[in-house]
Amino acid sequence: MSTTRTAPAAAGRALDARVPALERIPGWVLITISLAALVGIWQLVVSAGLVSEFVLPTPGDTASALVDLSKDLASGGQAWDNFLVTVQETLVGLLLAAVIGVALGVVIAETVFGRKVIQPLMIALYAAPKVALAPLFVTWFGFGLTPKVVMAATIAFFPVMVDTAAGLAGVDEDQDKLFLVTKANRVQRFWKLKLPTALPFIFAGLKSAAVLSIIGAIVAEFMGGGEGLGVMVKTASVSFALDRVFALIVLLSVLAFLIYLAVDLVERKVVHWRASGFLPAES
Amino acid sequence: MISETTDVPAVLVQDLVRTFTSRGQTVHALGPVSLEVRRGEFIALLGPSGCGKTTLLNVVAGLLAPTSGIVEANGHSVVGVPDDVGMMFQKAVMLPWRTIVENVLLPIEIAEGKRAARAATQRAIQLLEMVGLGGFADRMPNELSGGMQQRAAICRMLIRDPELLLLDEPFGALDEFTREYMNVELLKITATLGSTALFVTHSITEAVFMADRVVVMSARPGRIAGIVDVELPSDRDAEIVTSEQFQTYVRRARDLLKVGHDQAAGVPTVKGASR
Repeated sequence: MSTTRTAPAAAGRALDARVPALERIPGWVLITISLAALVGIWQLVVSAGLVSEFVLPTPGDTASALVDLSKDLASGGQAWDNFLVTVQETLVGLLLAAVIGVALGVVIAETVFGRKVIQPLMIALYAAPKVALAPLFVTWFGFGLTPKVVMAATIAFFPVMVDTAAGLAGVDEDQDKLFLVTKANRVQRFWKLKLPTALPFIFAGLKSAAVLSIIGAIVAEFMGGGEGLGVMVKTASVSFALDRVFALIVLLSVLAFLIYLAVDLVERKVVHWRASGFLPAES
Repeated sequence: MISETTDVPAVLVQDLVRTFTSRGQTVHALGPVSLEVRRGEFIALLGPSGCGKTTLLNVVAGLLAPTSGIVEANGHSVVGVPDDVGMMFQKAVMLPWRTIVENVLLPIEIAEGKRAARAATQRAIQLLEMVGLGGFADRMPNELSGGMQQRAAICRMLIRDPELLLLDEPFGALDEFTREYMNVELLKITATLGSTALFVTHSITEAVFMADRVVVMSARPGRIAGIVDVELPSDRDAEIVTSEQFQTYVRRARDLLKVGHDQAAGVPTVKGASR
């Protein structure tokens, strides 16, 4: 009796043994070890004098620059003001990108004019390096928030538009047939079938847009100046305070990640029937 | 809804032909087929895959136009989807963003608006109770098994009291046990409501079990190889399958299928002639 009971357990262990060692270590441990190794190599490269400290600050310098930056942020100083400016540009840009992207996606998917005229034009515009528009926007809109917001929206609306159009076109054949049999009209088909089908796609586009809009805002800040974290990066860079540049890049990455997570959170609320997104869903 | 004299057939199909054209090639899928379905009759369309039985169903549903021939429902030519048709597909086709009861109410919401749908909630819940899903009205479809979703699909089909039920292998995706159970349930429901039904299947026993008449179709181009009149009591249960009488009908349907197959394959139907 006892042998028959232990046999499956032994078989289970044998199966376990075939799982690669890395597979059995939790992801966060691996990430921590990898990051530590990377920082270690970084420190070694600088300490060994392979790269001048003037060109590449040590991890220690970067960390203390990051601490200084955090203090500045927390005390509501100059960094905080610049931070708020960039956040504002990015969020308004993202909002504009969402509205324009969804609207154009709907027009492309739902109208002949959209499919035949707007879509090819947009693909041509997609191929153009939009970053090159930044100086133009500065000339047109000056040095305030406007050129940054416009740049952010210009870069970010493309994935929203493309994914919206693709999502609206990707209706399940059987569900389509169900709506035909229930004699739904065009408007009903759009609101009750196509749009819910497209929502997960739209959010995939919005997540790309979240990351792109911060890029747009920073690029425009590089060109146009004024205020913002991009301006701070540029200032620190020309004064060779590279530890500060690194610290600002870390801050920008965290900001981008937080905006991404916020979109992901909204997606979980809106597309509640579908487990997707960046964070693993509870099963 | 519209009162008709009883001698008008629920469905009339006359010399129906349907062809499909793709990449310049014309495929003769169906016909010519003629069929008359009486009011309250349960018809099974039986045939091998690709025999055009689903095509026939889709033409009656108004989803496909006939290439030639006449199709009438309640004495009116079928142009587009007729009113009071309820349809079921092989899959349950639940909208995953709606609760079960919202899915059941979808046909009302589309035909009469949200307010009418809300007003019909009680009726939807009654239907769900009838198929044993009373406690699942507010669940999401992905919380239910395939069989439970298909039961909800029955409710959705029935919510507007359709006169004609079109069923395209409705339980084909379910396991044998669930399928048998669902057939018994569906038969009870249609008997109670006196609905007219066209039921597509490729299972001989299922066809005989469900139908008043089994229309046996031959392989492409789909034609009617013969019709088996099933004279079994309308309150059938699973045990009837073992009865002598049931087996006789099954054999008859099987013979007709064979004839249809040989004809389509160009084999002479005289027994032994080819061997």
